[in-house]
Amino acid sequence: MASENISTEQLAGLDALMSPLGWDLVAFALYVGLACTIVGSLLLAARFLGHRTRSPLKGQPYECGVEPSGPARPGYPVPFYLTAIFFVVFDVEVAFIASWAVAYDLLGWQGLAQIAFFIITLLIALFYLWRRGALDWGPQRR
Amino acid sequence: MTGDMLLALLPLLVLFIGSVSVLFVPERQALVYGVVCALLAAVLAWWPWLSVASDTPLVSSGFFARGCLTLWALLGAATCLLSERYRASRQFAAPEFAALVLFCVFGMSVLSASTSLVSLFLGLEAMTLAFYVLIAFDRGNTTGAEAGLKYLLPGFLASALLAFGIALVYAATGTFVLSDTVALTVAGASMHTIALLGWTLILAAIAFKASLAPFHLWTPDVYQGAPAPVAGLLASGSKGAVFALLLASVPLALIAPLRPLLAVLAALSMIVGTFAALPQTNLKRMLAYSSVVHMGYMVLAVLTGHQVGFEAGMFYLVSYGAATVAAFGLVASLSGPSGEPQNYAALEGLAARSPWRAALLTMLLLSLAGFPPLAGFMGKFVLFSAALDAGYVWLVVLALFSSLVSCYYYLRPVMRLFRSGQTAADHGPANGGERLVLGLCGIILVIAGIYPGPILRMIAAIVP
Repeated sequence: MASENISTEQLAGLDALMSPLGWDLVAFALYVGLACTIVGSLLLAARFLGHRTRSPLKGQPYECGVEPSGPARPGYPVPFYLTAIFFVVFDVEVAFIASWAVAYDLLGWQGLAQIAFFIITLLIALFYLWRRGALDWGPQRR
Repeated sequence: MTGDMLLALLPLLVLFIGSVSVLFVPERQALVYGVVCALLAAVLAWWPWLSVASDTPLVSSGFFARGCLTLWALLGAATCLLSERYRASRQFAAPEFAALVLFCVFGMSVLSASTSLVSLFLGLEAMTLAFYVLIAFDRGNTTGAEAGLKYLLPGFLASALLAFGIALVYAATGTFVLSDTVALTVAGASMHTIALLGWTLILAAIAFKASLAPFHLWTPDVYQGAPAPVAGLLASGSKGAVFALLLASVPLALIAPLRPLLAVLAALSMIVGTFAALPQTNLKRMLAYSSVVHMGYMVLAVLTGHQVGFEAGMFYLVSYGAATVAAFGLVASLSGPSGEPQNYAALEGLAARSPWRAALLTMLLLSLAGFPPLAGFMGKFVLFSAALDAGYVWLVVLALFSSLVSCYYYLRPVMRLFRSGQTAADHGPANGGERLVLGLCGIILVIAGIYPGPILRMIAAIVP
């Protein structure tokens, strides 16, 4: 009975020292420590218990079972880069069009006119790219 | 969006449609087309039937917004005219250049007319985005590429600070409307500390764009590497648009805790800019540091926080803008295929080769230094007296000291001009467009210095 009293008093004292947030932090620290210990011990166990082989074949990159050929860093053709950039540009604009599309009935004719202005501007940009030859795939133009 | 709103937006729409359509104009006519679009926007801003136009949600169509739009459009037109010959000797793509300049003017106009934090961000980004490309437009020039990168990285940082600051101000005040956010912050909004932190971040982003002292480090390298007409637009237009915003729609001086910050920014800009400009031997770098000093003076106008100070600030912007555009335009008109005459040594003996341009450059530098019969003196006079009235005596003393020291670095290139030099001329005579722009800037500087009454009255009529 006496010992129980003491323990609850001690707990109350600790509670006064540490707010509920403090207890949460202790629990979180314990959790992190436990997770790190488990992961670390598993890795160490794999290192000491596993058996290792090294061979040139094993060092090769795995390409769906096909033997790799050629260097790992080929020069990409520039049109690829341009097309990627255009894709990113026009893809971002879809976000604006989609945000109109989810509320098209609330925005009414005015919203339609505004989004039409936006899309026409994009179309003009596309025509410009086309005219400048940016969409021609191949090294002969530009 | 009603018809009235569309009418109110018409000058901005002209700039935007012009910047898109100029891409389809042939190479030879593109710059002229850009000039015509900018001038059309400037005229439309004062078309009579627009005076009834109503305000739109994001940008105001008040007199101040229209006056600023006119100013930026004229600067854009001057940039196009000044880069005609410069472009031809360097194989710039003219349609893209004109489109970017027009888009830049569009961004500046939105920025100085913004009534909301959203349009503030949009305008600043539109302007900066065009500058990122314009600064590095000369692809064959390695310093140009370096300048582009050095503008890009601080620009990104400034955008991040601005966006974060806007988010904090919105969180604290719950509105994007500029006048409401300032009023709520002054009244002590529920989250006063958060609002103050937000305004500080916005102030830091603005200081980046206006190159105030702790945030000025990109300025000299960018001015040196950028094509001279673009550097002129960057020095006059972009900084002018930022300060027009501070003078008209974001009176930061009303928020008392920000006043010491503004005063420190002003003092540091004057001190650092003055002492960094002293040892320069490169005209563009010297102009960069001198622009840091001039922006420090402009902060005085923001600090005064009342109508007279704002008018003085706008007058100072006009006189500084005219002198700066003309100085960079002169560098552009003196540059040949081999490069720009940036070093003082390259300017040696200019008075013998082309006396008019030497006289004009002398006049511009004297005006920037603030010699009496020119606009720079009158600008400093009205600005400093407004700041004295507002009670910032120590800042005015510092400003007087720095403009005294500035005579040294402004007169060093002038002395070189009138020496008998051996440098061979690399440039041809100025063409019509250059003569028009440089002559107009010179006339403005003289008139604003000798008879500033009409210009001051015009500014007083538009400042809200």
